Amino acid sequence: MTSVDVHPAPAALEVTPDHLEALQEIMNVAIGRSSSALASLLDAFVMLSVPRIRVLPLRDLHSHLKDLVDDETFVVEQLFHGELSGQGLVLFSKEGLAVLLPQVFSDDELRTIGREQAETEMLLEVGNLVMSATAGTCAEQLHGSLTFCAPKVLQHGVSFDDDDDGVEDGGDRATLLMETHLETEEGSTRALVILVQDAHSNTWLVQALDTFLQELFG
Amino acid sequence: MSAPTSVSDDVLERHNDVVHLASPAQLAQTALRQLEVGIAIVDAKGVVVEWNDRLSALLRCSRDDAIGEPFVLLVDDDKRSSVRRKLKSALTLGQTAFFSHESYGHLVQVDVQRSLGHAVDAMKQDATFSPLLADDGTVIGACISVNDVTPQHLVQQALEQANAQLRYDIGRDPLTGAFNRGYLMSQLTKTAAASRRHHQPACVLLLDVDHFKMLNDTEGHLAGDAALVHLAGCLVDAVREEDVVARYGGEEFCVLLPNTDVDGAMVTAERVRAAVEDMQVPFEERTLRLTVSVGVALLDVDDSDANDDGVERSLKAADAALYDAKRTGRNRVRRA
Amino acid sequence: MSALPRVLVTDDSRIARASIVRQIDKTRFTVLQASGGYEAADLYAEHRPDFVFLDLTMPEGDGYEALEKILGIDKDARVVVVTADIQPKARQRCMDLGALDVVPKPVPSDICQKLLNAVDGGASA
Repeated sequence: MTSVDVHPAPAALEVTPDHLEALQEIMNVAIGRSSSALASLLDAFVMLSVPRIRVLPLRDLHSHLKDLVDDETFVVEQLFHGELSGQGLVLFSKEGLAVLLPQVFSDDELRTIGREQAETEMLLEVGNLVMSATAGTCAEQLHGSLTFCAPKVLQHGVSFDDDDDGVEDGGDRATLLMETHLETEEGSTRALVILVQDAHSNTWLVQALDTFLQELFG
Repeated sequence: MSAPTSVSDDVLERHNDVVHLASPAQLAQTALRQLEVGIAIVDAKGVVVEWNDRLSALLRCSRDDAIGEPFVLLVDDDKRSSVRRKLKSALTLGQTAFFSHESYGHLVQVDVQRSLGHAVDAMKQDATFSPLLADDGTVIGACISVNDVTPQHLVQQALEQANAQLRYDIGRDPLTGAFNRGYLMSQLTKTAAASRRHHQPACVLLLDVDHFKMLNDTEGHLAGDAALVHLAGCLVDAVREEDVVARYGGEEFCVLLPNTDVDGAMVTAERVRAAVEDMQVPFEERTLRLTVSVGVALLDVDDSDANDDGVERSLKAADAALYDAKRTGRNRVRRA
Repeated sequence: MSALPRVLVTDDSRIARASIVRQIDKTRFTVLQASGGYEAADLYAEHRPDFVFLDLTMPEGDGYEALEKILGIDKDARVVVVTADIQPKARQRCMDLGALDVVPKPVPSDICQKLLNAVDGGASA
């Protein structure tokens, strides 16, 4: 899709180590909030570990995900709009599903709605919650606007394959990749959260991080 | 004010007067009532304080009946616990929650009678539960918006059916209905990758109809076709659901056996050979009989980067084994 | 040694520390910073600060350990635990260990000021 507006080209990846530190702390808070929100929603013990975060240019996302994602990874997508805008993805493994399912649904409910549908619904709820906390906290801390669309389970995953379609111009966009561990009484599992930003959001993010750091350190 | 010149002028004048009197607040209130989207507003405890006309129509519940009731009690019994969770998300966590027709179908079952065209049992409904926040950020209530998405659902369904049909058509050999070579190759690559990742062996069988040319020459091409069609069916019956039966060439078939080691593949191959030998193909007033030669090979996954070469190597190995089976008398199984 | 009351801010993230430190009036308080649980306990033993902000999730000596240690040194230590994860179980555990309070992260300014006011009796005129 060619852009015919007069805005300058999307900022290349300009995330500095200071920016990264700020994002790390923001995400620590985001994950902490996800943790308590999940615990509250499921009415059960839930702990999300301090996330390991990486900020990479979008074109490098594939190589990082290659080892983390397989055919049995479930992907929940949630688009968001505002100053912070883009595509949010929450990834769970098959084991993760097994760990979380009994926390969300009782046996009766599983019988009534059917297992497959329950799995989808659980993915959507937990995915929505984690994404809300993640992108939501990011926007809040950086004083940006944000609104969410309905989450969606991607049936066939996203293409993390080695083709460059659609990543030529936007390949520089700062993409946030977060890895956290989710622990419940039923067991623990890894979850991945990815924020792929739109071009204009990329520009905004760098400025917002500068402002954030400015407010803290002068 | 001059006297109106006609009845319609008089009506218009009065109408204009009425419009001028509505304040912005009244307009907003009216908009809420008459919006195309069903809207319910609940207080911090989840009790309905506002219920618009569209929602009354969608959920077949009047405004009077709804106001003062806990929202969760106004939805179907089997949706209650899910709705409770969504409302909790909005009211307690201050997070927007989504209720999708794809997961639940509807909040309230409303029968839809579609006399012409595809039937749909009930209205499909999407809902969004959004927190309402005071200036200081505390949650003071929630707004629940409900949409009838039955039209979209029907389009989605039609699209999915068309796609499924297309996928089926593209991946299949038109004569026999077995998978075609293109599909086979992509499956081989996928299976090899999975095989490598999960450390589970996979095997391929390459089958070739014995003396097929002779069959075609003596009985005619239609006989040959009938034989191939039956053969494909026989192969499908003889193997598991997860195995892939594909027409590889003119009279050649390939069967992909995931999660199978060579010994297991040999057992399957022998079973297949015997089934084909017993098979009777009705054609005109005769019964055709055939046999196949089978080559068995392990799917080569050792070379982690040159995945496709592994597949080629495996097929070559199976082919060599097949040749061996032919050479040593046909109607037999040989392994690479 | 300064006559101003001392506040110890503990968090492995300098961003998180900065977010609290900038809210502290330097004319009223002396600020000490620790980036881990062990460091916090050591600094407490040495300087006996009047108030401690303590993060829960730190790699070097986690918050719970630090909390126990500090209260072991001084059972009347005023320690407020700062955490983004406000699960009731976590809160209870901190309170049981002797924390003064558990507040969300980032610390809202009104809560921060209230806590600091309790240390020195309020802003000087």
